[in-house]
Amino acid sequence: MTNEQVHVLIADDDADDRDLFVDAVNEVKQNTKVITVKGGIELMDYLTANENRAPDVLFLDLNMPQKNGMQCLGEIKANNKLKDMAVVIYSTSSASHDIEATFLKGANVYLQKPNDFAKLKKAISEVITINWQYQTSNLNRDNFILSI
Amino acid sequence: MATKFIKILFILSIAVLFILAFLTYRQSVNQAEAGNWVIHTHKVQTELSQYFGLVKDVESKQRGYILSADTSFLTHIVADKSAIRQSFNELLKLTADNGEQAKLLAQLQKITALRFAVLDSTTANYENNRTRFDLLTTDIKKGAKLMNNIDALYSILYNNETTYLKQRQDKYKKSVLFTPMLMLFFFMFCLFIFIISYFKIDNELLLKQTALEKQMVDATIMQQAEELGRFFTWQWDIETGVCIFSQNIYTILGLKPTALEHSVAGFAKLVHPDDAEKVSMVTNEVIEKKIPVSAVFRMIHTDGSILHVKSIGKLMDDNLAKNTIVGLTIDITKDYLYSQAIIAKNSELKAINEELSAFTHVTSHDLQEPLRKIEIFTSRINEADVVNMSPAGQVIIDKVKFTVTRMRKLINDLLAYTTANKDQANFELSDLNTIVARAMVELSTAIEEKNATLQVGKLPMVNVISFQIQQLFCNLINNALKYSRRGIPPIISIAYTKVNAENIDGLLDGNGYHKFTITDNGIGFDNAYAKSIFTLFNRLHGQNVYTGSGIGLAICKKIIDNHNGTIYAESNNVDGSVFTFYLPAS
Repeated sequence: MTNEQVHVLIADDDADDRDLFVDAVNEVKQNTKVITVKGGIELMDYLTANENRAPDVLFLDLNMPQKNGMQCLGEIKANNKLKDMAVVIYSTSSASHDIEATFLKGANVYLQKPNDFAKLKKAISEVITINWQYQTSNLNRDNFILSI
Repeated sequence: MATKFIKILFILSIAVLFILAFLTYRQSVNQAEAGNWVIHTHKVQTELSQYFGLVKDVESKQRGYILSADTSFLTHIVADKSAIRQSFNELLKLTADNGEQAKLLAQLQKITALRFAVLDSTTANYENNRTRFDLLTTDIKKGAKLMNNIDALYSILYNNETTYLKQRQDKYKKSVLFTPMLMLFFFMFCLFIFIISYFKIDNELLLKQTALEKQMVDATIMQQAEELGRFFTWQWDIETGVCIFSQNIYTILGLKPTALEHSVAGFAKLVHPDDAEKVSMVTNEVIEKKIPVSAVFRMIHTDGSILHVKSIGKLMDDNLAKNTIVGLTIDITKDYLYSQAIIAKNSELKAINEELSAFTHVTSHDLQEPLRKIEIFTSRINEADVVNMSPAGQVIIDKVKFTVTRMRKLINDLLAYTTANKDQANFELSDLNTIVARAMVELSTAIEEKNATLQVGKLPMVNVISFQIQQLFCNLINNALKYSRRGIPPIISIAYTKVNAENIDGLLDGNGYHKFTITDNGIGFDNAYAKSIFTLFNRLHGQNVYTGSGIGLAICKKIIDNHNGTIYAESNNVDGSVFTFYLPAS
């Protein structure tokens, strides 16, 4: 465990989900800072703005209006500055084609939105404590889906 | 072929007739000639006898004179000599064609002359010296000797002629016999030719008659076919533009016979103006490509209604028909309107399917979204605030949780039902032992909870959609576990046999099927519901007794339908139930 503050960014168009997520992060009681964006366009604007520090972990919803998570993932992985950022797909979908596509596009973890608050906290806790430097070099299908 | 034969027969008959006529003519001529020759011989012989008689006469008259010294004998001799010359000339004429006889005649003439000379000298000697009988005797002997020679010559000549006569008579007889034979042969031959010709021509006429009758029948059948099939045929001479249509064009287009021009232009007038260009393009294609081309276009009935027709044409370029397009036009209005209706229905169906698919999507995602939120919010209350609640509030929270869980199951099952579709690509030869083993792993928690025993026999390899069959076994085993008797551990057995279908609803008689039975010792059901338990949302028990969505068995039915099998259930309401399903073996 590190004492350095972990920057977490959540991109989700659903206000309830954002609130629940923020509550969950806060309840995990680790040294984290959570930033929220309401959609794909806002996310990319935030990430490409020079004054903002790139987050350590991005939680990315797939189903968002205007610019969806899949498009954002593509742009992130095509951007040299952002491509090493850890991306956690955070979606209701359990469809195999979504899982397959995001894995191939370079997402690090696939987290299906839990239906239990305790599970959500557990998942967030697991994700932010991963040593990403080590983890990114070790991507594989077997541990892509985060089961909680 | 037959005509050629008859022609040959005719020419042959004429040739044979000519030959026979010629032969007959020649034969008649020959016969006449032979007859003439016989007459000729007779003439020669008569003349010879006359000649000889005259010579003898002269001799006897001379003797008469010598004996009687009557000179009147001598006068007769002169007349006789003249007659002899005449007779000789006649003989010469008659034997002019016969060298041998002529030679003998010349000899005869010489000897006759000698004889007459001797005769004259005898007479002279006698007149000079009537007493010299010795001289007379010598002369008479000399004369008799010559006379003998004449007699001998006459005999030769006569006999020769007799020989000729015999020969000529033979020849004549032969020719007389041969002619009727030839005539008879001639007759027979002609009769033969006539009989053959008669039969041949008769046969030919019969064949022609049969062919004509067949043609008439064919024409009638064709006409009937045209009426039944609603088409007409046409032959279009592309050089002259003349077009010959079959009768049915009048019926199909409601035309009066006088109203139709028998030309391409006449046909073009009947085509819908909007399709005129299309028709002319297709026509060019037929002429250029020399292959059969078909086209669908519209024509106008005389009552103003529009007909949809299909025309097929082909350019003929052989000896029978040169530069002629032959083809037919079929009235497909009924089929056309029918297919239009089907196309409309199809797109309607497609729209409905898309709607259904959208509905499925809504069910799977959008409907689950608020549900998940209810769950997660409830879980927050449970986690943080449940301790502050009254016992009644806690019960309510539990009920909310239970209800939400049930709703999630309902949605998932409904989703499974709607997505359990038949996709040929997903069929693969699968080991059902593995599939059942997987289903049992999936249900392991429930099996343990119920302390159930599963007895699984040896199962075959079957061509199936494996995930659906796994779901089928899951649902059936789950069903058996759920409807178990309280306090009695469930015993579920899965058995398999291969059978030939016989009087089983939904199966093809005589085909091979895999038969599976899943037998349990549960509560069973009233057999009256054996069919209805497979219908969607049909439940036999209250929710508080046995939980369930009422979809499980409906999914089983749908999966079995996808596999062209059949499924049914039996129970006597006491000793558990038996679920039986069949899958095609090939």
